[in-house]
Amino acid sequence: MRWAPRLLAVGAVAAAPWLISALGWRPSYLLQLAGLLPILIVAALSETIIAGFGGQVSVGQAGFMAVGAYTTGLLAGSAAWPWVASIGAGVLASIAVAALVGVPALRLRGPYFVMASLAFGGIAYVVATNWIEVTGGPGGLRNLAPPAFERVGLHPDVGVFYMLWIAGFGTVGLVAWFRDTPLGRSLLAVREDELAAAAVGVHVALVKSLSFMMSGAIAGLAGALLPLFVGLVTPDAFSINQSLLILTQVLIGGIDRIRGAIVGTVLLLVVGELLRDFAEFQLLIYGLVMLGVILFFPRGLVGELLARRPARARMAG
Amino acid sequence: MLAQVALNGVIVGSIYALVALGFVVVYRSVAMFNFAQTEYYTLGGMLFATLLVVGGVPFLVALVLTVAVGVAVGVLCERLAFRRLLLAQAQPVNLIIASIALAIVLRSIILLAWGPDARRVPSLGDDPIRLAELLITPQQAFIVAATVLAVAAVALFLHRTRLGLALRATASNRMVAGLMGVPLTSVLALSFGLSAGLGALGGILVAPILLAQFSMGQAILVKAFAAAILGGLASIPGVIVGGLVVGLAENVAGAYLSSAYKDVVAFAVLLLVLAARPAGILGGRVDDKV
Repeated sequence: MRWAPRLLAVGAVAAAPWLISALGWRPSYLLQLAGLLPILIVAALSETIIAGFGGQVSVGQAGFMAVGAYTTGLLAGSAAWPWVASIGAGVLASIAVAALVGVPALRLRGPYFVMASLAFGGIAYVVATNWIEVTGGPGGLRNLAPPAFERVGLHPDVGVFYMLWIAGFGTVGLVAWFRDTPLGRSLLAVREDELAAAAVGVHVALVKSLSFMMSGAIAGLAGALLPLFVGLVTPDAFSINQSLLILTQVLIGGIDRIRGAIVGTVLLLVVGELLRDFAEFQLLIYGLVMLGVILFFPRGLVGELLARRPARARMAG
Repeated sequence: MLAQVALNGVIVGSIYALVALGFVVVYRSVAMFNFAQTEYYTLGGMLFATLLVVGGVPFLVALVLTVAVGVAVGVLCERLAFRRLLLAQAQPVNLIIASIALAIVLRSIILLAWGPDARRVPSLGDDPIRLAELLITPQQAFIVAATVLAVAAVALFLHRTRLGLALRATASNRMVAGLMGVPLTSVLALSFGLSAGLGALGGILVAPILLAQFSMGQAILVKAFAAAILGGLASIPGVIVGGLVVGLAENVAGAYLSSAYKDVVAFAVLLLVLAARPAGILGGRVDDKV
């Protein structure tokens, strides 16, 4: 366990709002980006669990995000629940949906699972766009007020920023803990060889469904954080492209590593912002990067770097 | 009313079957799913629209040219995106990701080249012919006829030629097939080219009735896949039945339930089939027999 980089990360995030305003260069834009980062990391970690630890590529994570986002948006908006409770309910709703979808998903492998996840994401998107009485249709849910941080003397943007990062750090910790639980280790065993895992007593179906719910919960959390962050929920945030983006993030960094998800997300966010003027080329570049990574560095950037470190350093790390 | 809805279902379903057949051809030679398959369908629709409308090329020439370009693009994509992984016996998950990435690349290129607007494509005729109680336009009749021809040709090729046998042997075991003298690289090029050509043909047929647009492939992906799965992946009659079932299900649901949720029906059919019968309606075990 190396605590120094973690403390550094927490310190950097805690100081970020002041650093950004001290810097004085487009402060609201920078704070926006820095607040978006934990949401994207949480979304990426949901894919790390299912695709990295579980070996099942999902292109429907945006569907779980939609469930979390709409549940939270409805509760925090028209039902006027407190934000933390709304977000919790959003996560619970996505766990419930994951349990439901998990019934067919349990039996599926490889391309079948990919398609099932795609179908699920597609259904979520169509429902979000067409169930106007509940979701508000293409216009979505709007004008969601952030928590009253003024009462504790914080600017709402800064308060929300901290809430997002608490969720982000919490999720990183949760996923790291999950990987080392018996459940997480069983999942890795199932990924390597389902038959062998079953032979040594792993309850394959249970492990798969619990992990699927875990992944759904985390994707749901990422979605639930969105209305807190932007104050609205619209269907286009949950299109198939969002799911593909999540997959690209974890793939670039390294699909089966927490650090991979973080590095990939940061890289993609920065590159995406730099290429903002070339928005029409953005998806093309992501696709080419994905293809290049899978052809030449299938372990991702982090995996590749770790593999090149001398063996002794790796043992120590 | 129901009979007319069913006929429309059959017409759309035959397009699904055609695209699904492209999935099956690749699946039968390399046992992988090419998620970029429906982008060849988009390419077919867009290129055909341009040749016909902008280029003023005669109908049949445009059709042949478009299918030829589709085949060439399919061969090129296999070479650039898949061969390295296929020859290295890469993990299936990497092949899946590579094909997803390829789909993104192709879709982006099509979007950059043609822009986001839908294009109208002249059809062979929109004045319906009365067949008993049913109405069918010449274009719709052409869709069904062309699909039947293409499917029959592919079936003959796979089961009656040495090259078809080589394709099926490669699916069974790539390495052993190679040792037995099957020219691996040409088999790979052939199956990816053939499947891309089928996709492009699907796009050509559908463009006059549904408009050609960069997103048309993404819209059909789940449905064509559902058709392929329903048919059990390995069998050609199965694919046809699968395509028809999906086409019928969504048209009946669209007519009697809600047209907004028409697409959801296809997705739900897929999820249900995956849950209940992962090997398809007609499929037994998917693997093994060459």
